[in-house]
Amino acid sequence: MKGLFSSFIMISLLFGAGMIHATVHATAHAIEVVDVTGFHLNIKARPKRIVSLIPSLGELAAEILQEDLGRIVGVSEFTDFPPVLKDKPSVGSYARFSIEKVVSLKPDLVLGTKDGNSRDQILHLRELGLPVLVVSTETLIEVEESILLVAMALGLEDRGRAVRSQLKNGIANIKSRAKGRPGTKVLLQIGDQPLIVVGKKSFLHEALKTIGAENVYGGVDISYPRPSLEDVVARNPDVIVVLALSGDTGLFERMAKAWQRFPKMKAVTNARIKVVQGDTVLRPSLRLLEGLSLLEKAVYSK
Amino acid sequence: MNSKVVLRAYLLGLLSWALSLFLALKFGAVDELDVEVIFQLRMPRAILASAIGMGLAVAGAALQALFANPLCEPYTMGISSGSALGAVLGITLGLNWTFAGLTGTAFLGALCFASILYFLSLSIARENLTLLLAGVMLGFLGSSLVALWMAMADANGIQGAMFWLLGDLSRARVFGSSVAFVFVAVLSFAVWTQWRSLDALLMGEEGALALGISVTRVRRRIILLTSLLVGACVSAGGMIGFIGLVVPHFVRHLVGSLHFRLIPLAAIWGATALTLADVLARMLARPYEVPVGVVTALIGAPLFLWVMLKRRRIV
Repeated sequence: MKGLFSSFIMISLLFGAGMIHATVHATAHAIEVVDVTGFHLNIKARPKRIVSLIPSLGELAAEILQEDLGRIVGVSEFTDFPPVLKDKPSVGSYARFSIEKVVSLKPDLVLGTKDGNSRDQILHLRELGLPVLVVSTETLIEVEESILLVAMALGLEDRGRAVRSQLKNGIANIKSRAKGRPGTKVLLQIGDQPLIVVGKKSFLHEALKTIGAENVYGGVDISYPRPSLEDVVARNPDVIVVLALSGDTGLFERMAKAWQRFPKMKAVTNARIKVVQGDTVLRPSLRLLEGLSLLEKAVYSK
Repeated sequence: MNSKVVLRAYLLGLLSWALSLFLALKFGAVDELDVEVIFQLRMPRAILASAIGMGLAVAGAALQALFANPLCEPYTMGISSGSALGAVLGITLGLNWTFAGLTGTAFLGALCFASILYFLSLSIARENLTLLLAGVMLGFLGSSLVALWMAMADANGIQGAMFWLLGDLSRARVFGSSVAFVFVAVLSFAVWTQWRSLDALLMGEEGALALGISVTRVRRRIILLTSLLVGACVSAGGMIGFIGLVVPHFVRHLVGSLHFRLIPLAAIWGATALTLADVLARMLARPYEVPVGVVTALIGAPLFLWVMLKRRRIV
C-alpha cells in the first residue's frame, strides 16, 4: 500500500485532459477571466495575495511576475523554484492541501490545475467565495495557453504573451532538431513496485514525440499504465529513461539498476538506461524547455 | 450497577464531548482565529465527526449484542465494502465534484449491500453464525472489487479514493454535516428503542424466545437500522476504524451491558472520541492532514491493549 501511495505522489505531478477556452475582459478596476472549467472569476486589477496550489503554477506565476514575488503569499509543499518560493507559507501537498490554511491566507487569487488538484477541494474553496483560477496542462498546447491565462489573471497579459512565445519558439526548435531522427523506442518509467510507465494520455507521451522518440507504451490509452515486467521485456525498448524527482536520487538509480536482470533487452545490452532529473519535465512552466532538452540528451546522446 | 456510576458516566461523557467540540473549534491548521474558518470549516467538521463517531459506536454496540460476539464492529458486516465500492464508482464516473456526489454514490453502494444482507437474513434467519459469515463474505467480495478497480484504474483517479478510504472529514460542509447529524441521531434513537430486545439477545436465542421475543424479527430490524447507520457514516467520512469496536467495550466496562444506558452512552463517547481524534488529525502534521482513520487506530489500539493488560479482561 505504501509503495502504491508514493507512486501516486510521484505520478500526479501530471495532469488530466481538457481543452482550453478562455476569455478575458479587463477594465481599470477588475479583470473578468473564464477558466478551463468555465468558471467566471472577478479578480482585482492587480491581485496582491496569490496562492498557488501546485509547484508548477508557483513556478509559472514567478516567471510572469519576475521581480514582484512579494505578491505570492502561499505555495504548495515542494515548491522549490525559484528558490525564494521555498520560504513562502506552505498550504500542504497539492493532492490534499489544507483548505483552512488557504482561507487563512486571505488570497485574492488562487491558482490550481484541473487534474493535479482534487476537484472537490477546488469546489470547496469556490463555495467559500475564493477566486480560484483553474488551468489545464495536459498537452503542450494547453501548457502554452495556461501561461497566457495565468498572466491575464495577474493583470500582465503582455508579459504572458512574451513568455508564451518564448516557450513556443523553444518547442519549435526542439521539433526541428527532431526531424529525420530514427524513431528510438523509449520506455519512460516513473515508478517501480508497481512499475509505472507513461501511456498515450500523458503529457510525457507528447514530450517523447516532440523529441522524435517513440513511446513503447504509446498505444495504451490511459495516462499511467502499470504493465507487467514480462510485457516490458517483450516490447524490448532501445532506451529506458527513469524520471527522478527531487530528493533521494539513490532510489531512482536502484530503479535503473534493476533492469540489469534482463541482459537480453536492447537497452541493457547497449547500456542505454538513463536517470533524468524529472522536475523540469514534470512541471509545465517555462522550465519545460530545459526538461525537454534533458530528455533529448538522455535518449539521443551516446 | 448503581445509578451514581451511571450518572457520572453521563456527566463525564457530556463534559468531554463539550470540551472536544471546543477544542475542535479552537485548534486547526492555523493558529490565528478567523470567524470564517471557524464557522465554515471547523464547525461542520466537528458536527460531522460527532455524527460519525456516534453512529459507529451505536452500530457497534448493537451488532455486538445481535451476534453475541465481542469482535463484531460496524465493518464486520461488509456494508462498508459496499459503500467503498459505491465511492470508487462515483469517482470513476466523475461525481466526486461535490460532497453530495461521493457521499451519494457511497450511500447507494451501502444500501445495495445492506439489501443483499437483509434478503440473506430472510432465508438464513435461523442461525446467527451463518449470517455473520455471510456478512464477512459480502465484505470480502466488496473489497476485492475495490482492489480490482484500483489495479485497473488510472493512477490519477485512485488518489481521491485513497484519501476517502483512509477516513477523511475535510469534505464536511455546514448543510451536509447537519443533515448527517440529524440522520444519525434519529437512527441511533431508533436503535435505542430496541433496548429490551437487545438485552434479551444477550441471553442467547433460546433465552430471548423464553422472554417472548422473536429473535428473527429483532435481527431483521437491527440489521436494517445498523446498515443504514453504517452506510451513512461510511459514506460521509470514509472508513474510520476502531471507534465502533472499542467505544462500546469501554462503555460496557463503565456501566455494564444493559442497552438502556449502553446505547446513549456509547453515542456520547463515540462522538467525543472521533471529535478528539479529528483535532489530532489536523494538528499532528500541519499543514498536512493525517487521515482520521489512522489517528483513531494509532491511539486507540495501544490504549485498548493497555486497559486490557491493566484490568486483565475487558470484554
